Amino acid sequence: MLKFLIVVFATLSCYSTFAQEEARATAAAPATAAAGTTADIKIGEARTKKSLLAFPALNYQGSPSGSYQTVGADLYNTINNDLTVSAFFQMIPQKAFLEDTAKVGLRPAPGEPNGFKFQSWSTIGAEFLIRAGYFLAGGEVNMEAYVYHVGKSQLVMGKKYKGPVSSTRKLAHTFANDVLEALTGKTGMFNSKIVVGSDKGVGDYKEIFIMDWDGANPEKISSHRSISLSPAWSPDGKRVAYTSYVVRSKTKMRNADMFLYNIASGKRDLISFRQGLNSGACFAPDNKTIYLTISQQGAPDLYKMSFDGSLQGKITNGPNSAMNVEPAVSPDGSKVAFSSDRSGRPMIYTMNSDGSNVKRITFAGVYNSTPSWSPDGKKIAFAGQSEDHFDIFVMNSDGTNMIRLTSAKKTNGKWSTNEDPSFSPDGRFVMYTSNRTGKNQIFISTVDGTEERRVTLDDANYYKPKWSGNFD
Amino acid sequence: MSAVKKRLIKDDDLLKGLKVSLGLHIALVAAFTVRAVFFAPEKIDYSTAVRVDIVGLPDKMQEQQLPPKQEEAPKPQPVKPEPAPKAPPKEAKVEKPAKAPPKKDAEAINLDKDKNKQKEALEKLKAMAAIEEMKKEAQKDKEPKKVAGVGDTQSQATKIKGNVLAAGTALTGLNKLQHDNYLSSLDQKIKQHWSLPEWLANKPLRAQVRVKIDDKGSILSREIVLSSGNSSYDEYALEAIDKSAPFAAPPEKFVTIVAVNGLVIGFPE
Repeated sequence: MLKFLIVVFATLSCYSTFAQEEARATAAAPATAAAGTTADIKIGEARTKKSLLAFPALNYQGSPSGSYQTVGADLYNTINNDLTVSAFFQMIPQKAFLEDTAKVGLRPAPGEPNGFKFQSWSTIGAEFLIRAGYFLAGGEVNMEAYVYHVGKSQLVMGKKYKGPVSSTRKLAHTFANDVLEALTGKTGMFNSKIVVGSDKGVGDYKEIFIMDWDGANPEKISSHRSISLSPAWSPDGKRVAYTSYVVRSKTKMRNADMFLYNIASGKRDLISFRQGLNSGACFAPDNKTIYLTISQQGAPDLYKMSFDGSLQGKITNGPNSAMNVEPAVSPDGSKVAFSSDRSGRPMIYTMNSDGSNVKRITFAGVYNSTPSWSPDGKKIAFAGQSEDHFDIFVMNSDGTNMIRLTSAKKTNGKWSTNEDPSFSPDGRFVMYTSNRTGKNQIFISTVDGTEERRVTLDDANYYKPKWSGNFD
Repeated sequence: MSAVKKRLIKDDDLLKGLKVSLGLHIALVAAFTVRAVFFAPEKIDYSTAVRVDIVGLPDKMQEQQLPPKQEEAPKPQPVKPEPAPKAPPKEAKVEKPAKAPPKKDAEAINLDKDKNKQKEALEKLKAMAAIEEMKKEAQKDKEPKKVAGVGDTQSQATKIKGNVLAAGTALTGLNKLQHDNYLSSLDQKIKQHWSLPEWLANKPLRAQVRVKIDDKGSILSREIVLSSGNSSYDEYALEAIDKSAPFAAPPEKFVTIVAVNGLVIGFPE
């Protein structure tokens, strides 16, 4: 892993942090509910809307040198993409701007000579304005960025950031996270990562890759020259477990064995190599246990295992040699969702983490697989098939209130297959793969299915992406 | 001879056969009856029945299909079944004189239909009388109504559910209808501009704004009378009102109420 040196060395000012008001409001809510008169007119619940946000290009504050334009574009594009994807904002197109932002300062006019005018932004309807500048010095990016509430003519947040040029995107993601935190009270998911199996640059093989959530900075972490698949993050984000069909030195046969890879040290341990499948790793939140599928006695069943490979117990058993695969441990560790064909067709089940209290939670469709928990443990996403293709669905963790997230056709008019959902660390998005473009590319959707975006933009295939937690 | 005998014998056989048949049938019915009455039927084990799966999965919802969030409000102000019911028929009569003038032209052509004319004239007279009555009623109501209106928005407010200004004997007949119509026109207009960013929506926040409106429908003043505790939320509520202005001019009788006392508008209630 790259070592990032982002120093937020000055939180310039932060009056009226919206987040603080949030906290107060939530506490005050029960009290105010009782008070107040009966209104003459009750308007009812509000529609949700996106806030109009103006984000002009960053001002370069140093003397032009080296790759400063590339860095500026990287910063701008990364921040702009993050804020657009967040689904909170409607970005105002550059051509609507009334000010030449390159010629005015980052701070408002009365206080600063040659500052910008709030009026130029309120006129075009901007609710929020981001002004940022940067310069390069000694191989480092220095960025200073401000978020303004245009209507109140007020600074919401202002910070300075600094880091090596190689961490430009990370620096931009950090700022985007700070913007969301200042406005909504909850940080964004922009410093999270994906671990995924892919044939990117490895021909017919599939290896394991780690990349930023937006598909940038892909890094290959396995070289088995084989089929490597179903990776998983450890809860602390320091390890990845995955399965690869590797050749046994004695028998010369390939077997689906499980590896545990330490990202920082690059150390790789073969942790489960029982005959048959050793796959579908899912870390328990205790960061000590891995749930996985082992098929040593015929039908695949779910087991608990320590990081050293010793089994802690078999937690499913049939019935009638039914398969039990794809364990997904709930965020609190108390439950495991999995798929099983014990009722005939593969369906989603949940059980306690010791294997008791098995409940079937999906009854619709002909093939439901790959359950994945939301970070708050309230929802489960899965891939479901009703005709000849899979789509992504989200439901409550008891199986109620199921909604469809995907429904897309390929260019040849046939339905695309959408598989392997995984929740974002903030729980607002679901990531999955889709073959609608011809290749198995990574997509994300808002959790209500209203906005869908393609993440990877290349010619590779991706399989079973898993979204990490937030890295700092 | 022999033929007759044969037939007789045959009839005998038939009779015998019928009797046997009847006996057997009775026995059969009796047997089943006895079985049904005295021997309990076997229990059917429903518990092992197979649960049939639904094969279809839900379709993707378009944004318009998502559950509308402002479901409760679209109903216009609930009209209370009070003395009010009298009003609608009256109003129907009031409208007629307005329609009458165009008819006059038609009558000019059909000079011969005197009877029609007479009928029209009678109806006009009736309508005029009705209007006079309405006017009297309105004037009678005017003074007490104002006082009641004041009380409604303040002291008596807690006692009443639903439409405050329509409570008790405050407004009846035409006044009440006009008042309700006016409120619901405001409601519809403000609702169009009542929107929040996602991070504030779905939070248990509630604010009330008192807005005072002049006789042209412009805002005289608006202030938060119940803060949600979140200044952003309060501002979005005020913004919704500002964006909705100017409103329709209030009906003459309510000008003073909405200008002096104002209306309390709840976000969401």
